[in-house]
Amino acid sequence: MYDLHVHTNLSIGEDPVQNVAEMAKRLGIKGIGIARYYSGTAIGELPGVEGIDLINCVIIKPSNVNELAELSRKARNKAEILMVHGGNYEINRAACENSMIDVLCHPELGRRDSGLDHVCARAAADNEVALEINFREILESYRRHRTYVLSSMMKNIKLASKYGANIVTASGAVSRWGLRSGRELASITNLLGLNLGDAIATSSTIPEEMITKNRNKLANKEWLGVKIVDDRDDKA
Amino acid sequence: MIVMTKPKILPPSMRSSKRYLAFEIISDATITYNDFVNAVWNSMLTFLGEFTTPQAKVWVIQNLFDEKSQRGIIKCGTNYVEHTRVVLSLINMIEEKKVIIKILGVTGTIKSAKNKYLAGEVNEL
Repeated sequence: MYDLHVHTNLSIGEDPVQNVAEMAKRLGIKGIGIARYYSGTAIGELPGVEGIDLINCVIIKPSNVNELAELSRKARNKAEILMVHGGNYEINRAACENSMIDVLCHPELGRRDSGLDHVCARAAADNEVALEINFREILESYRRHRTYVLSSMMKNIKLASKYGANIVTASGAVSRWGLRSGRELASITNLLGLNLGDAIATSSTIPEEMITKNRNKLANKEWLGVKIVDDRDDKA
Repeated sequence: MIVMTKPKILPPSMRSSKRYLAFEIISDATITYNDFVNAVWNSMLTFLGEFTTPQAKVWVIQNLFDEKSQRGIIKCGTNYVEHTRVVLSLINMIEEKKVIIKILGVTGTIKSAKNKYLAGEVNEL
């Protein structure tokens, strides 16, 4: 099980990477995406923690569509997973139409509507942009606001299912107490309308495939349409 | 003449089927049974509402809750396992103490839940 969106004190989180990683290990999580915001400056290496896979996730928070294109171009080679801070419809749509983006985070953030329409969902499917179900949004909202969040997420799941776009469920935790095991995250996606098998895939196989693919690309083992399948020469 | 003061226990074929979720409370402080039960009820009524809560038939089994290891068993209806998982995952604070409820597993009988999940060693952070 993977959790691709976890904040530590390297971004807006409270706890250091070590503490978050220890809690994730205790919850049976195989890998966590340590999210860091990118604004054009260099991004440092992640500290290594034994027994868990730490994934370098970069979040870009553009103010307009042009900035999104520029930041995604610059950040792509620095990130194992490239995410976009969603919430604005124009940004959401541009992110769905950009094949360099891996995940569109919380498209419904701060909105009364779901932030996505059928055009975005179709573009996300074509460009292999995964739509995120952010658990923190549900956890930190109450009553009326929580119903809006749940309703928006249900709509996004329905759209993604119809057009075949990937969904990723993540905790979005800002401290180690915000983490949840992958199976719990899958449960909420299941209740929101995805069947159980697909819901479990949103926190296991889908993130795993994304990470493997991007790591191969960063290691120059995979290009658009071409992939090294046998590294016999490397071993020799 | 014998006067019955309470209804007879239903035969097994008439009883609704159940699932048992073994859980562990992860927290820096010790959480008591009563505090935990209150938190479960609050979370259930908030998330599932007054209509779905009785259908889920969630029940925290008191004599199987171990305050030392912070582990226990929750009973729920067969079709409400995912609802119960979500309800438990939405508990993040009990009596001002930060917590995570970790589901250790789901079983069909109390016996297997006890043998599989409550008999093991406590996983210390």
